This record gives sequence, structure tokens and C-alpha cells, in this order.
Amino acid sequence: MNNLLNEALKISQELGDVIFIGALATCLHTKNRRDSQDLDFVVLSPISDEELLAKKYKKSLTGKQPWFTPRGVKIDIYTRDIPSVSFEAIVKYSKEFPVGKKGSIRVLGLEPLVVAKHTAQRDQDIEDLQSIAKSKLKEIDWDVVRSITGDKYKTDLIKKDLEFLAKSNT
Amino acid sequence: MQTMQQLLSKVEPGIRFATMLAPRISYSVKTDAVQVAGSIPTAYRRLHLLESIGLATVRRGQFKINRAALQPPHVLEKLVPSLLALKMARRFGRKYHVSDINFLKNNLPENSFITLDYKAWELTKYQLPQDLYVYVDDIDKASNFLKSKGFSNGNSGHIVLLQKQHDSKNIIEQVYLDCIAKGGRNILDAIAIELKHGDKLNIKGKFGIDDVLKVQDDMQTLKVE
Repeated sequence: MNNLLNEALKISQELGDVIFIGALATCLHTKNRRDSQDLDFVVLSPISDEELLAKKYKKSLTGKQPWFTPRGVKIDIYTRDIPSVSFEAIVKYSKEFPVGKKGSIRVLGLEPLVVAKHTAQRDQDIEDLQSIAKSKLKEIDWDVVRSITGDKYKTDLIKKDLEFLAKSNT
Repeated sequence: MQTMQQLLSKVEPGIRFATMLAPRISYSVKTDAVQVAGSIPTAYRRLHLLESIGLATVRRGQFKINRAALQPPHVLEKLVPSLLALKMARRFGRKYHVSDINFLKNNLPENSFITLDYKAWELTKYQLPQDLYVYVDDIDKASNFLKSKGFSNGNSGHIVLLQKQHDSKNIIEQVYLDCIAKGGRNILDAIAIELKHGDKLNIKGKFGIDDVLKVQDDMQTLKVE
């Protein structure tokens, strides 16, 4: 986890304003350290392949041709909305997390993370939502969730699911 | 003693009920279950069947279905021992820190074996492990040992004891089935195990294509000219 955090910090320093989403965001909000060894992030200004190559980032020749950092960590770069969360909401509700004394990284906020995971509803998202529900339920600002979903019914459904997951032991 | 097939045929109405529900995180007994089961008493009968083998969690008129219920019958039959072990699992913590895990790793009961997070990590190097799940011959004896060393039984520790159902001849397949039975992030572990050790598995679970593609994609390593 510390390695991944240090890598996230280096990416922030090399590529400028980026917001980490995915497993790293869940880890930082919940302290649940189950994640795969890759980093997903949103870039605030588009970044070209040439710029990445100039910064020693590498593109693999296999499969979907993913990018790797100069230190060999796989990355997924997003330039627009993530499921059910607008680009504006990603930026507006992002949160700064310190990385030791070396600096800080920006991470997807708790409310957009909850909305994105509730929309995806894959097995791993449900487990992550359960971790969030158990440790952060009282910190969720439901007005913010409502402003992201733009829908009272969906917000109520998310709240009901999280309250159930918080009390469920499986 | 009931065979796994007999047990499954007993809970079959519950499994049929689970497969008829639209995929959701949680459901209401009154609104969602009654639509499928026909009445509140029937809905609860179906849910209690599922609960008996760890395929549902019911709480105050709301419930959750373990997606392992959606596996094909021949896979589900193999999952029953894992489901029962997970249902009866006991969680322990002392300092609620990695030191708890190190303690048990250094003091593993005789004939015990590690499964889920830590074993999946050893087999695949895919997801970092979080909790130490250990199958033991005698769960009461192992629990008492942990308690004597200052551990408490609760919901938030990182040590999880599982009652061994039988001696597994194929450890990789056992871990694979445990991952499917547990669900959540362990589904990704199961897929990673199948991708890396598919030749050691006599049975294959059913996974979403997006999940398989995600794990395949995540496991790619850098290849440049």
C-alpha cells in the first residue's frame, strides 16, 4: 500500500493535477487494503501520448496496450466522467490526502465514490461499499450524494443499501 | 449425514427464488421478495433456506443474496462446504493490526491451512491480502488458544477461523471455491487463480465477462520492443 501511495505521489508530481479513483480511493477512505497493483486516475487537463512518452511513461504492446509509469506500475487514465459521476463532481468533491511528509495526492471524495460504486454494483464494488458503510456511514453528506445523482429516489436507495450493509456481517 | 446433493435439493426452492430476483445490493421482503415468492410467509421460508447455507443475510425486513447462489448447480454443489465454513466462521482480533496476522502465521494449529486472501495472494500476486483465513481441525480448540493469547472474538479482527469440513486433496481448487463462495473482491481472486492455475482446477465457476477482462487487463505486465 505504501508503495502504491508513493507511486501515486510521483504520478501527481510528474503529470500535474490528477485525481485518483478506484481501489486507491477506497483504500484511503476505509483503510481496507485489498487492491490490485495498478492505479486509476482522472487527469484534469488532457495529456497526449507524446507528453507521456517524454516523461518516460511506457505503453505496452500487449492486449489493450495499457500505460505503465517509469517504475513499471500499470495505470488507467480517465479524461471524462465516471459512471453516474460528472467530471465537475469528480473535481468539486475530490479530497486531499497527505502522503507522509513528502506531499499529498488528490483522491475521489467519499460521496462520488459511493455513487460510482453503487452504480457499478460488481461484487468488488459491493464489498467496497460495505467497508465504506462500516467505517464512514456517518460521514457521508447525503445532500452531496443527492446533488451528484440529481435523483431523490436513487439517493434514498443508496442510503438504504448502505445502512443495511453497515449492519450486515457477510 | 446429508450429502451435499441432498442438502442442495432441500434448499432448491430458495435457490430458484434467488435466481428470479433482479440484481440489486439489498432487497425488501415486503416489496421485492413477495413479488417473487407470492406471500410474506413463503418469502421468509425461501430466505431461511438460503440463510441455512450462507446464501442470504436477512435483517429487519431487508435481505441480501450471496451471488454464489447464481452459480450453475454443479458448481454450487462443490461450494456448499465453503459456504458452510464461512457461515460458521469466527473472527478474532487483538491489536487489530498486521501483528495479529503475524502471530497466527507463526503459531498455526497442526493440520491447519490458509485460504482466501493470503493464499490467493501467494498463488496470484493479484490483490493485496487483508484478512488471514485459516481452516482448522477443531474450531473450538483454536478459538480457545487465541483467547488465551489475548484475542477477542468479534466482527472487526483480521483473523478468521474456519472449521475444516474434510481434508482437501487439491488446495488450489479449495481456495478457488472458497473465493467464489465468499464473493466480493474474492471473485477477482478466483478469476486470477483460474487464469494462472486453470490446469489445476477440475471445476470452473461462472463469472461476468467484464470481471474476467478486468483481471486479465490488470494482470498484464509491461511488454515493450
